[in-house]
Amino acid sequence: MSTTSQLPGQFEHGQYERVEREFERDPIGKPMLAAILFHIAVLGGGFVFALFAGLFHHNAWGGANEGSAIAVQLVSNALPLPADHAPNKNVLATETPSEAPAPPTPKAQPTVDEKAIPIASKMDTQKKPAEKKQEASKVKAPVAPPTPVKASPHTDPNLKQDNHAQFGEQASTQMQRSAVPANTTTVGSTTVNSSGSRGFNYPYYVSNINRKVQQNTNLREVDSRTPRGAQANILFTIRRDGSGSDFKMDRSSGSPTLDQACLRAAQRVDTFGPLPSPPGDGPLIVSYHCDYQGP
Amino acid sequence: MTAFFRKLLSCFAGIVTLSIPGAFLSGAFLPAVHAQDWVRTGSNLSDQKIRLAAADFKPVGGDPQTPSYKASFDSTLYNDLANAGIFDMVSKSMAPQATPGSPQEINLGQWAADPANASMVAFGALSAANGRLSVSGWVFDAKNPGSPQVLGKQYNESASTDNARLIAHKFADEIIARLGGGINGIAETKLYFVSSRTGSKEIWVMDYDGQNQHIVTKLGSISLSPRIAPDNSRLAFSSIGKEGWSIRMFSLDLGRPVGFPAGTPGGSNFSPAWSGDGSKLAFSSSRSGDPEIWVCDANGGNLRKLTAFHGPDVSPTWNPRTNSQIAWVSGRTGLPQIYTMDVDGANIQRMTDGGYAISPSWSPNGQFLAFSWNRKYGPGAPGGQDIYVMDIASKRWIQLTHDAGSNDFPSWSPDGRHLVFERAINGHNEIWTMLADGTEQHELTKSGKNFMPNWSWK
Repeated sequence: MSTTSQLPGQFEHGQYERVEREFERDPIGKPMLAAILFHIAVLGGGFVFALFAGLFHHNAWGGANEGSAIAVQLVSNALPLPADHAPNKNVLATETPSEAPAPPTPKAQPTVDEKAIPIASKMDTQKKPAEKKQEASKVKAPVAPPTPVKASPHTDPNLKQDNHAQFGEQASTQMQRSAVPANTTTVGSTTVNSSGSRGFNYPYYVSNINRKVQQNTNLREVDSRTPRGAQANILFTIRRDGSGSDFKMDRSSGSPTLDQACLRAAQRVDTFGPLPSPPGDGPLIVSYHCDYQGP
Repeated sequence: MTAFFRKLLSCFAGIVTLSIPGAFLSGAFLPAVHAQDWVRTGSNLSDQKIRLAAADFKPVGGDPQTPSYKASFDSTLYNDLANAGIFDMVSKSMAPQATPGSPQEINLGQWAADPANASMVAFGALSAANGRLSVSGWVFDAKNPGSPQVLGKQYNESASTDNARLIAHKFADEIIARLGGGINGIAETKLYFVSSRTGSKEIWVMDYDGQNQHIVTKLGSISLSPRIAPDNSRLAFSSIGKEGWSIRMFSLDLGRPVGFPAGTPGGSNFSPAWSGDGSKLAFSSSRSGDPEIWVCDANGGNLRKLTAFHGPDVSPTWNPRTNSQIAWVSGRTGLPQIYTMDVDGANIQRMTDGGYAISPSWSPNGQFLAFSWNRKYGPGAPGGQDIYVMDIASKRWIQLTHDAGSNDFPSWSPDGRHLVFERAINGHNEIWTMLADGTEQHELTKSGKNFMPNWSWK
C-alpha cells in the first residue's frame, strides 16, 4: 500500500469533496425565516384578537342581566316589623267623609212626641223616662261615631277622583275604648262579644292579633280581579301558649285566592303571644275577616 | 216608650245572634262546663305601631343616689322601647309632666288626650334604700279605663347604676314580649365583636345598645369571627397560634379558654358557626388541601366534611329554625357566591346570581338570609359592598344600606327585627346596628377599630 505523501495545499479529489461538504453550511436560512414568520404570525394574531375582543365589552360578571335573583321593593311582609300602611279614608270614623253615602245618623236621640199637648202631671213622668233614655243612649254613644260631619269647603282631591264611597271599618286611634259590662267589650269599631263568663276583655291582645295576621298577609296571592270590598271570614283557635290551630273558612268571599290568602296569613303567624286571660278560660276562638281593598 | 222597647229588642236580638255561634262553637268543640272565649276582628282594624308613652318613674325615698339611678333607668327604658321597632314612642316633650308612681295615681285621660295621645302608658316607682334598688312598674291601656292593667312587675336588685340599667332592660323586655305578640325583646342580649383598640385583635363584648364594652379574650395574637353559643356558655372564635389558624373555645362560665380538639390539626380553620340547638359546630378548614365546610359536635367529636368541590368553601351559617340546613360562601364558579345545602351535604342550591357575595347570616325565623354583596364587581365597575336581605324561598332581595362605606358581616338579632354589621369608611371600621328594613341605622362603637359583630341568641 503506497502511502501517498500529502503535500500541503494539495488535496485528493475525494477528500476535497468531503471537506467541502463539512464546510458547507446547513440550509437553515429558509426554515429559519419560516419559523420566525410563523412566530410573528401567532403572536400578532393573538395581539389582534385581544385588541378586537377588548373593543366589544361583554359583562361576564352578571351585571347586565337579572339572573334568577329578583330585586323587589319589599320582601313579603314576614319581616316582623310594622309595615307602612296609608291611613284608611272611610266614612264611618273620619272627619272628611266622601260625597256619598252620608254616615249613619247616631241613634242617640230620645223620641219625644212634640205634638202632644203637655199635661202637667204627665210632664214629670215623661221627663224621667226621657232622662233614662238619654243615659241609656249615652252609654251606647261610644259605639256610634262621636264627631259630627264637618262640611269642608275643600273636598279632598283624592276623593274627587273616586266615584264610589269609601267603606269599611277604621282603626280606632282617636276613639275611646270603653269596657261595657255584660260580656261586651267595645274597642272602637271592633266589638268583642263573648259568651265566656267574664268576656275576653283584652283589647290590646285583639289589636295584636290584627297586627300579626295583617303583617303576614301577602296580597300578591290575591287575584287582582277580586272586587274591592270582598270579605273573607275565617275561624281559628289560639291555644294558651299563643300558637294557632284549627284554621278553617267560615264564609267565603267569592274569590278563592282571597280566601286562601286570608287562611295562609293566619297560618303563617308563629305565635300570637301567650293568652292573657286566666288559665281557666281555655283557648280563644277568633273570627277574622280579611277585606280586600284593591291591588 | 215603644222606642225604648224597640231598642231593647234589638239589643237582645244582637246578643242572641252573636252569642249563638259562640254557644254553638263551644258546644261543638268542648264538652267544657264554661263557654269558650271568642273574639271577632278583621283586617285594617288596628294601627301598625302601638303608641306607647314611657313616663318618668316616681322616685320614692330620700336616698341621695336615687336621682342618678332614676335618670339612667328612665333613659335606658325609653331607649330600649324606642329601639324595639314596634312602638311609636310618645316623646317626652309631648307627654304630661306627671310621674305617677302607682295605679291609684295615674290619670289615664291625661295620657290618652292630645298631645300625648298614648294608647299604652308605662309608669311606676323607683326607690333606692339600704343598698337595694327596688322598682315597681305597670303598663296600662289608656284607651280602656274599665280594666286597664296589661302588666305589673316588681324588681329588686342591689343598688348600682349598672343594675338600674339592668332592671330597665328587663322591664322593657317584658313590655316588648307582652305587646309585641310573644317575641322576646332584645334588651338583655349582647354583641360580641373583634376590636384592636388594645393593639392586638381581641374579642370584646358589649350590651346591644353599645354600653358596657369590655374585653373577653387576652391572647395577644389575632382573634377573629367570634360566635357565642346559643346557651351563652361558650364563645367559639378562630385565632392564630403556633399550629396556625385554629378554632378556639372560650368558656364564659369559667372565664378561660377551654380545649377544642377538632379545631386544631392541619390547615387553616376559620369562621365557626353554632347550630340553633347548640349541639353542632360548622366551620371551614383547609386540612384536606382546599378550604371546605366541616361539621362536628359541640365537644369536637364526629368530625366530618360536607363539601368536596374545588374552590374555597367558607363562612357557614346554620338555619336556626330547623338546624338541618347550612348556607355558606363558595368560590367554585370564580367569585364568591352564596349557596345553601342540607346538613348532610345534599341539595345544594345557589342563591346569588353574580357579583361578590360574602358573610351570610340566617334569620331566626328561618326565612331570610342577610349577607354582604357587591353586585357590580369587576374591573372598573361601580358598586359598593352593601347589606342585602334575601327571602330564601323566592330569591327576592332588598338592599338595606346605600352609598355609605363598605358594609360587611351582618348578624341577626334573636327577634328577627334588627341587624348588626360592620361599616368601613375611609379605613375606619365601626359596628353599626339597624332595623331589618334598613331604617334606624346607629353607630355603636366610636373608638378604635371594631369588626365582625355577632348578636347573642338570648
